[in-house]
Amino acid sequence: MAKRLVTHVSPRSAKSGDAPKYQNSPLVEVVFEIRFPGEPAVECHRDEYFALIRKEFPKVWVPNAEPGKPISTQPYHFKTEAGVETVMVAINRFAYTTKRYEGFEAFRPRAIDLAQRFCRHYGISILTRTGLRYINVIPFLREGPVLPWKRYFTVELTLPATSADDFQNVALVYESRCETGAITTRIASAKTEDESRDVFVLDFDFAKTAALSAGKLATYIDESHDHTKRVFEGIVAESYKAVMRGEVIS
Amino acid sequence: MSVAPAISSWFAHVGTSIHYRKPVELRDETGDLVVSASPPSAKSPTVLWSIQSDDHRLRATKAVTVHLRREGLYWFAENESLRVFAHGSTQAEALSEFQEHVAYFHQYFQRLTADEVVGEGARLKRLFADSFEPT
Repeated sequence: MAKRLVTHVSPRSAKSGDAPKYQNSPLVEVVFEIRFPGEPAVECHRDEYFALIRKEFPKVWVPNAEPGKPISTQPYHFKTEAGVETVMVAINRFAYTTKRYEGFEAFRPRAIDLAQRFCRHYGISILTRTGLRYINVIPFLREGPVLPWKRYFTVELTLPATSADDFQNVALVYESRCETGAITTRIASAKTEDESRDVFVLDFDFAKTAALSAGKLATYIDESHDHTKRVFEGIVAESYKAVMRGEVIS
Repeated sequence: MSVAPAISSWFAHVGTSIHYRKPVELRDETGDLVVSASPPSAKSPTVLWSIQSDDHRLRATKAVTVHLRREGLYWFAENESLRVFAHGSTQAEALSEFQEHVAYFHQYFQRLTADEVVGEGARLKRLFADSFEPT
């Protein structure tokens, strides 16, 4: 028997103001995901949720059968016509992702609404994890073979005197705990798929795993976003923020 | 997209024993079943922070966006405001030519007096003067 859940998207409480909208944002993908104890109804009645969202997400992507992985844990993807937004459903998780992020005030109600409709339909009240992930891709040009690290990041990498600190490549991953969850930050130099361009991948993944309820999605997504925003603003160097604000010769 | 490995396993050789220490896996990722392994193309602009030619080095007062694209066998590097368009058979060549052009036009407009330019020429003279300074 489904428990009664909050069916409206509560307005965000007034805080110190959302992040400034950056004209040249490096954000390429944002994901909001919830996980829950395995619910067979999701797998057996997948079509019912699809029926609720098919007008907006008409394209159906089915999973490949991967050797060694239970097929029931593999997700279906429902995509918008242009493929910009995706809803992912599986026996123990749900996710909404977009490649066109127009600010948290637009993303928040969309993500919460889709997730709440999913939880309501399948009677999911207990969650095991929520996650909000921001993936940024920042193209850069090398100064000789060396990364122009300080132009983009405030992160100081202090090495012993015996190690050169003119980095040619960097891959840094760290997980930090805070009051409301844990944030994994990844900063890595990489190449584009065709190997022609250098980019930094700046990936923030805020996760909550303790005593979660499907009725509090708005709180969870707000806390995740607020903390991630603070970390992002602190990590990005002022010189690159100017580029994001459009203060460039273009 | 290839990414330099974040953490690789390493081992310490102690006498005749070899101890393998596996790295701590930090990567329970949100959306790992929906986010593609290769991130989408970057949307934000590529920028130069300084201009370096054979003869000159200029500091840019603001980052200079460089619109890089490949067409057929050639790379093109362009900036609309500066009216600089360069090309090369490699990306590095195109960028090098781009910087040569910027350095050239910076000097060129510096030599012109205000009454020797009008319209677009005046705009470019102001823009180059305001945007770059020799180092």
